[in-house]
Amino acid sequence: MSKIIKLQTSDGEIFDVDVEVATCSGLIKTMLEVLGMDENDEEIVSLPNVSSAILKKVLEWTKYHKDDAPPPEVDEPTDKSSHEICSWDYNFLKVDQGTLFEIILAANYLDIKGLLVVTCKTVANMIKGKSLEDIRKTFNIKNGFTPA
Amino acid sequence: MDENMSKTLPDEILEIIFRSLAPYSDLRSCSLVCKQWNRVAKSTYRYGIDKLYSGLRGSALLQCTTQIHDIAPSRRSHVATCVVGDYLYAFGGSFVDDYRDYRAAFNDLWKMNLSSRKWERIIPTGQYPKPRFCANLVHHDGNLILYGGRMLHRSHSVLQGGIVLLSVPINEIHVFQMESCRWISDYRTLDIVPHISMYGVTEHKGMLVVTGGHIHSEAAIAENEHVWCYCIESGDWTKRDVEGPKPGPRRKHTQVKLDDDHLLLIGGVRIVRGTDNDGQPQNDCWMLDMSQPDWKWILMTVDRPAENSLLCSNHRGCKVGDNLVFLHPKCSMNIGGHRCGIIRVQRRRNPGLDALHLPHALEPHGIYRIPLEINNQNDRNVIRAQPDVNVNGRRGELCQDRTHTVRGVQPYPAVVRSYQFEKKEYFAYSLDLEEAIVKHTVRWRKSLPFWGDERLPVLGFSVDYGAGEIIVTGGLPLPCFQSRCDVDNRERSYFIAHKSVLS
Repeated sequence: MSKIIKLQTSDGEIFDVDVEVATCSGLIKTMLEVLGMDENDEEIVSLPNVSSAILKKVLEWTKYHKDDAPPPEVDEPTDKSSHEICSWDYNFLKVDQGTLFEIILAANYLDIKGLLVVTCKTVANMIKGKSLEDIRKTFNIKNGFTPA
Repeated sequence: MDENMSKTLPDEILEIIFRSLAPYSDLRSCSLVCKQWNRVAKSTYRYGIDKLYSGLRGSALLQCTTQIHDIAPSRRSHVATCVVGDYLYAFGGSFVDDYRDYRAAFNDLWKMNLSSRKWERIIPTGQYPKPRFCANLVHHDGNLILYGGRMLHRSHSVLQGGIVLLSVPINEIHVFQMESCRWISDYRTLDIVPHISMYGVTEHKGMLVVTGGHIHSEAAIAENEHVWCYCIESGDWTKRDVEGPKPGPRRKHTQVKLDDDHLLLIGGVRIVRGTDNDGQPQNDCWMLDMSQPDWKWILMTVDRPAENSLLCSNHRGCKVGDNLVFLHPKCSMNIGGHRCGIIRVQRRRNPGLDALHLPHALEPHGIYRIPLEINNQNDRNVIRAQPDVNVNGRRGELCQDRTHTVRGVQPYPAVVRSYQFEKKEYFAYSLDLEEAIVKHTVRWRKSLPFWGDERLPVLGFSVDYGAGEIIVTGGLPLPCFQSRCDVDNRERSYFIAHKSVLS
């Protein structure tokens, strides 16, 4: 019987998560090692920086990827450039920009390297090949910058 | 949606995003978006370059990324390349067959967009240069200057009973005007200019300074010791006599610009008078001081001489900031129980051919692949080259009489030099040029090993420096990897940069 850990988000909702899935997050893994984990532990790990909607997405990703092998030591030649991401991730990240940015921030906070990498690559793909004006339009950034 | 989305992403995350971008036009666009992006983009750019320098010095890890191209120049080696802005320009080159003989030369011009990593073919107008290889392309003021090189020439040989492909050096100069996309041929002073290939050239104050090179004919070998200057504006060639001790006649060396008044020359092979064979590999280093009206060669002190003298005599180096980088492909495969190496065979000149006074441009050299017989697994130094029916351990027979190029000529007893390669591990050796001008000292450094594709080229490849990455294009991989039906045979290029957290 695998252990369950309780995660509480910023809006008070509590999620029951397998320890195996939860420890994809470096933050949670460290917390558990420091706090210790008993059989009947009712410990609730509080995540004030993550909302429940975002945590749901993050857990979905970690559940799918929890059995991923770590990246190989030798760079295997493939016909994918290192900037491509797998199709499941690509579909998973077809969300609005606000959600994408929040997932990035959550992955950074929870220290989930794989998710951080794939979300950052997605944002980078949104920048590649675009002109300056298109980049500003895509990310809705005001030009508060006057080149000297 | 919020007004300023970027305010929600902290600098460190932006930096991770920017590290995914190639450091060319994309990163440049990002630096112009807003103040925060400008700050982070500049820091990412600087980080990439600094990490590459650390990697070359052996204090950080490098990685080699393979880029497979759907559209690319066909397989070729000895291409003339030059990086200008966000593009890598590549001209010509030669196609070499499985026996390492030149079969065809090219004169097409390609450029690779370094941001998107895609090759584009340029279709210029004007006076096309003849197909050639072993030439150099130098950028000056919106023009690419192409000088010299070797071209293939069909000749009917009575002795050899058929058509022979000879490679001859040429002395034509062509200028490619980038804006108008035109080739212009410069015919002005061709009668005095030497026909050379495999020379070193750098641009100084509007002049091309040419040293060394593979020149044919006895008289011309003496010319090799001089320095030739080509004034780009006026088209005048002048021969500079430099007093005092000089680097001996050589070719295949590497020449780089230190600043407007200094150039550095290293390595190469000595030219042996009276033959076309390669002489001794050299690894001495000289600097030409052009600051005074009387130019002077200065012999540099080499700190920690390179452990492999073949390194700078067969591969061109590439200037990366204050370093001169040589890539050392160190790769071997165990195939069918035999260790294979590449053996470079020098055939001694046929005394019969000499008697006929054929043009000196005849070059009967070739490279055989011969399985090395090793007595026991531990004793790598005992190598006996044996003629064998297995060509690279796979199939076919090694033709003893080489009928397809040199008919009826027996292979001569050969001087065998072998390159032993280890599996898939590569090193970058760099020459630290920081104290070159002031203290006349250069120092060798070795990077940590990095893993690369087994098809990284080992001969005839071009090495260039983009922003924070070293670009390897063209060239030939180990013979056993040249064309296999079970492997993707599309063209590849390689980018060596610092090991990023994203890979």
